[in-house]
Amino acid sequence: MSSVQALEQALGVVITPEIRLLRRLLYCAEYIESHALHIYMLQGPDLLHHESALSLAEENPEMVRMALRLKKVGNELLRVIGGRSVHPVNSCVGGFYRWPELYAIHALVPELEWARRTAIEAVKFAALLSYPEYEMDYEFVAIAHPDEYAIYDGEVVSSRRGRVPLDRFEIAYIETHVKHSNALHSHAADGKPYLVGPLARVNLNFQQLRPLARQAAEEAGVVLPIRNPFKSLLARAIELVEVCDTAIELAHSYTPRGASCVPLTVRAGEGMGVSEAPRGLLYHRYIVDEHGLVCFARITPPTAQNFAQMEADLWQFVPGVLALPHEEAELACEHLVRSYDPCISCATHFLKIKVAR
Amino acid sequence: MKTSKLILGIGQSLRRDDGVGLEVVRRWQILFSAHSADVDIHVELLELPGLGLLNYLERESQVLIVDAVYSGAAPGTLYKLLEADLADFSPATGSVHGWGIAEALAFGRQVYPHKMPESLDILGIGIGEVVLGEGLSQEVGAVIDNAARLVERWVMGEWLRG
Repeated sequence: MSSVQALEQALGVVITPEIRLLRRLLYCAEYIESHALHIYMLQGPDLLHHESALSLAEENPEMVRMALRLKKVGNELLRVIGGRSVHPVNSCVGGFYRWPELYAIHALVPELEWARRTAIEAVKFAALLSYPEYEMDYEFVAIAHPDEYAIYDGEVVSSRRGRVPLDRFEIAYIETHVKHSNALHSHAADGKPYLVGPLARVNLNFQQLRPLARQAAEEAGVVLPIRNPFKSLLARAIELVEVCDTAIELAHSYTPRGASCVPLTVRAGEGMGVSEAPRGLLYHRYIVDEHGLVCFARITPPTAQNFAQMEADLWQFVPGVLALPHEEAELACEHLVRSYDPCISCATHFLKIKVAR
Repeated sequence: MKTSKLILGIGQSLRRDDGVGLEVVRRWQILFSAHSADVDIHVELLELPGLGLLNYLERESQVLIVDAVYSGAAPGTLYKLLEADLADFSPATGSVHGWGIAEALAFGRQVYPHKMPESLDILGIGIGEVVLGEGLSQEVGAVIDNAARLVERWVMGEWLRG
């Protein structure tokens, strides 16, 4: 969604309210499938002392079936709106290639209502988990919107810097090459790492949550700010309530009215877009020439923005686990990294630690 | 009662030869258009389905997965595989974004054994190194038609005839 917003700004396209609502619904679907996967299949097994979702399924197949059903609700909604359940193809600059069928959206409401009930249970489940004792004084960065819990659009805000105008984003947050990585790392202009993702969103935008999500969090005894990265799972569960509740409202009110795509005239221009992908803030900037060709592109994804913070976390976390047997220490660090839900989080064992004593 | 067939082309179209599964199914649709229009034969093209693969399998009785495999043999080698054979191959995608086909299938067997298809075959197309970009290498592109004919044999129920 950041890419189309950036290109629409570059081309001077203004989308209709109906298109914006459908894009929010599409993002709700992304959140449902992504958060269900991470809560129950990726980080959940870690906190329940299982090697993976496979071993969790042996002990608690009902939980895993419930997680798969939850994930499927998101995937089905994605398929109906986006044309397919992974990497949707119906979205385009200006809107959508075609409106999804009204009956197909409405048909998913009963499953979304089940998902909302299940998400409330997920918050209770997340609140009862035993999390490693660890906190970090993060700079949280997310987008915020005056009227809603921001996922699709909004302005960038930081817990330390306040509002960051979008055209200053690349000045406030700088991507650099580091010797030990083939991915760019991001730092704030003062050289310090920062955190994007569910913890940042929930901490910065808690008051914008819908009443149901806020109530679930309050009943679970959530105290803000949450500074324990392992509790990203709890933040995801709260967001799951939020997006299921939002999705039901958007599905009920879905009205395919007018053109599904705003006509555009190709022109030279530059545009920026920012949205909250499930893993965190996603920034795009493009420069388009007079033929409509993209001649410059900058994509700053959430996982890359979090790399420097992950490393800072590990530097602080590792001394506390060094006394453990090597494999246990390695596993504890893997759990920390997996709590961020980086792209590699599906891998059970992805980290090697060498201790120089 | 489930009686339909599903052909699943899997791959990443922007990782060159890794997209061969998608291309083989598309070629089958062109070469054998009569069968590809059959309402009882479903076709899906998926890029990195991960666990989402299970959502597609539960509706079908017979499934053919067409996917790139890495075996170390010459690129373009065609393999008729069963689920159990997947352990002998490395994931060809070079991706760590999701669950592989073998893991997703094993997971489905464990969690939803009654929803898994009665029969599941795999057409593997051997590939070499996966690199970014569009289009297939010459070696892999040269076997697309043969692979599409194997898909047709599977549709005709002649899969096991050599």
